[in-house]
Amino acid sequence: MEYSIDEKICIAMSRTEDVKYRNKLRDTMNLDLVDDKAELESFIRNCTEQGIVIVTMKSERYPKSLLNLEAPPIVLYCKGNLGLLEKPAVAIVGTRDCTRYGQDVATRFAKEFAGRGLVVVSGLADGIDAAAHLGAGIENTIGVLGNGLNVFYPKGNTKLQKDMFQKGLVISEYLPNTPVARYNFPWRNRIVAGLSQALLIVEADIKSGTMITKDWALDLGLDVYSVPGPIYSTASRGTNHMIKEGGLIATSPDDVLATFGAFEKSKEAEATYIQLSFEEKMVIDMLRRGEQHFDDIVTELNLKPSKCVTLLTNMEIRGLIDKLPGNFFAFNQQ
Amino acid sequence: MLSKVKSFGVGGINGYVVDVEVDISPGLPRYLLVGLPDASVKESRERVDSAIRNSMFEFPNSKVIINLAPADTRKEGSLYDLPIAIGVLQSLGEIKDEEKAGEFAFVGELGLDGEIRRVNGILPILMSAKECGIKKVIIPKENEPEASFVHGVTVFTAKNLREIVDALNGEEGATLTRVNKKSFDEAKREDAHTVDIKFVRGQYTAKRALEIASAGGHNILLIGPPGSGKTMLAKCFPTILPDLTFEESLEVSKIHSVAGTLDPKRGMITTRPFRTPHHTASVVALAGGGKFSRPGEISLAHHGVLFLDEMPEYPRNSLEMLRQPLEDNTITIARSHATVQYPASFTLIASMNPCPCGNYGSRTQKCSCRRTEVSKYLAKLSGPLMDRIDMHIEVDSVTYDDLSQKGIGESSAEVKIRTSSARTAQLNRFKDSQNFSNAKMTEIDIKKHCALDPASEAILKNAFEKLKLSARAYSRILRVARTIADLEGEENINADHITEAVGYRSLDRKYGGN
Repeated sequence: MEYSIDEKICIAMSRTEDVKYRNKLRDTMNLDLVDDKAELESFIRNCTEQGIVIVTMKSERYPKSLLNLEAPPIVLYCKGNLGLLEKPAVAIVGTRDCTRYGQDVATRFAKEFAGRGLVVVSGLADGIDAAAHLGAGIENTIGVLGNGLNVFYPKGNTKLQKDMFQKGLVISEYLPNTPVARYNFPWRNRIVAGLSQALLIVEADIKSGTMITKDWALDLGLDVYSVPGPIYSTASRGTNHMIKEGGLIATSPDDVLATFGAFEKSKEAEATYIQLSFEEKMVIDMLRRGEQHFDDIVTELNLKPSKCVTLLTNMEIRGLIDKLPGNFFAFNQQ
Repeated sequence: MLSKVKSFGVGGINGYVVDVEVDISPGLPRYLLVGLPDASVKESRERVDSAIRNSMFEFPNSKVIINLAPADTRKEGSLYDLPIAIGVLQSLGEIKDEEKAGEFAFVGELGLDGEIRRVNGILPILMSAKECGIKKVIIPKENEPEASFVHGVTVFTAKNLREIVDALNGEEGATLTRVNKKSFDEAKREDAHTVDIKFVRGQYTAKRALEIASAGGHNILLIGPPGSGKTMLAKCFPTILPDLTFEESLEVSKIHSVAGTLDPKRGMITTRPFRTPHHTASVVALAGGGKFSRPGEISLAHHGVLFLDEMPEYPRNSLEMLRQPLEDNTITIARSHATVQYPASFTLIASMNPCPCGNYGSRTQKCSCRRTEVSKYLAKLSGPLMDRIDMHIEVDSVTYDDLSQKGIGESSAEVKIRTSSARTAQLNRFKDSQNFSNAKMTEIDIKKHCALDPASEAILKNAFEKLKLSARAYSRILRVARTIADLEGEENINADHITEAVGYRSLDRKYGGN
């Protein structure tokens, strides 16, 4: 990976804690100010070997939307498919302590967005973030870390992060080995907002990191949508509060898609539908009305239960439908 | 004077011959019992003493030595009372015809009045008698039902000690009662089940899965909110199980005979056992063993069902203990004083809630658990244990509409016809091996009997990729698919069978953490 002189200066800037020195570099843009050039080169080589691409403010690829931030990140350490940075993106964020409801909503909405060609951006945390990444499918999602790329936090998302290195995209403004620090997480939220054209908050308490992301998004002038929840649920206090204050409400993925203009339903899906057998069409028609329990499908189709298990499992394997906990089935939007 | 009497001991679930030698010699009155007797055998002295005196004989006022041979095996239980008493009386010359007495073997506990009482383990004892060529055995009257199913041995019963001595001495009017033999078919009787699967409304997946489990002996996990009928479904399970074969029945009855859980009136177990130990049961109670080695719940469930209600409530070590017997179908209990082996080939039915509050995935109730709590709850069941469960079935609470539905489903008897014929197919398939069912197939058996055509192979490959099934699911799916094919009467497994089998592995997918 070859970097221009400007890019190298940016990399050098990102590696120093010394504000004066950093400003001097910024103002002069003179690479000669860097004392140990060999060390800088070896750092860059090291990153390249690890598959890390450094996107700096001076790079072609740097997302222009980030420049609207008060303090745009000087560099982004990226690992994965950089092409995702060019696609329209929606951020889905929310609490780590989510409820089943929140998890479902995040998954379903993310899946729908990805199906319509959007990239889903989130923070690779537990709960809503993980559900959003998984819902969208790892090839359609960007994760923004509050720690270095080589640090895996939370532990439970290790596999997800590794998968996203391969097929999705993980980015961080911190040096690859930066450990976890609480205060970095709210700060990285500005990048989550900065990369997106709309923000969807699924579940959040009133005082939370999610609310910080919301503030960044509002500063940038993004459409911020909240998903309503039960009034007793602490996990929905923040979102319900925002709706009460006059924020945008999202009760279906289409509400959010309004921000992006019309996204047509793919012709492909229609074509697959036509090829289905009679029973399969009946199942799809049923599931388009909403989630259905296995027993209800058996009753409606008037099939033997054993045949019905075969039918549904087959459709699940082909990716037409999803099996949900509790023996429920849902239509797979993709 | 020296005398020898034949009797038996029980080790594990097998009997062996014990020679009771009694020597009475002049000297200070002493009573020595050797040959590793435990407390219950040592106590026989007082019972034998009283029983002999109360049967109008004299207990010797001199040195009595009793040896139980083989002398290096531990003897336990009260069944040596009778042979010891007979030996003593023979040494005293009260029993005149030694040769005639030598034809018999004796087992029984004595009451102080000389009455002969019931003992455990008669079935394995008589079977070992048959193997060792002992033709005549005298047993307690109360054990008669068990004895009537062992052919090739003449069994007599007696009510008290005096009766035996008189009969052996050929006194007028004194005879022993001979036990009439019965055939296995006579032992079978129409079982009056209090439940029937036709009364279970809805729950189509669960009912179908139970049918497969009963046909192939597959282990099954029922997951559902409280009140969804998991226990009801499990209770219906025995009603659709294929009948025990004679060999199976004999093995099961032997275990229960040793454990003393045999119905005294029936003598033989002809229906598959259904054991439901509570979750407070100790490891020893489940596995067997203890101070007086006794088969545990898993052995009492041999060839039947072990139902663990609310599985995560069982202590971790009790559950982990199940792993080895689930794999090997027997349990070997090693203790400092002895090592015993009990058969333990059972079908495991477990039930559990999907999360701490119980309502995860329910259509009528709301779950109030956090996602992390749900995965924590499920993590209580270890991977290796889950490896051994073939089907995970989600059961949901039934709505009022389901309950008020007109018409009822298939009855247990109808389902049983199908499961029985599927089981017959398996018995034919495995007639040359130790195996009785698809669930117990080894990897070699799977290679041999679960060949897949290219279409099924493709489906399975696809399923693994799309549904992210774990590797451990592979052979489980093949075993279940084999049973589904057997239920349909098909020689080969086809794509539909594979697909259906994949459908019964819920836990490998959405529940499994991230």
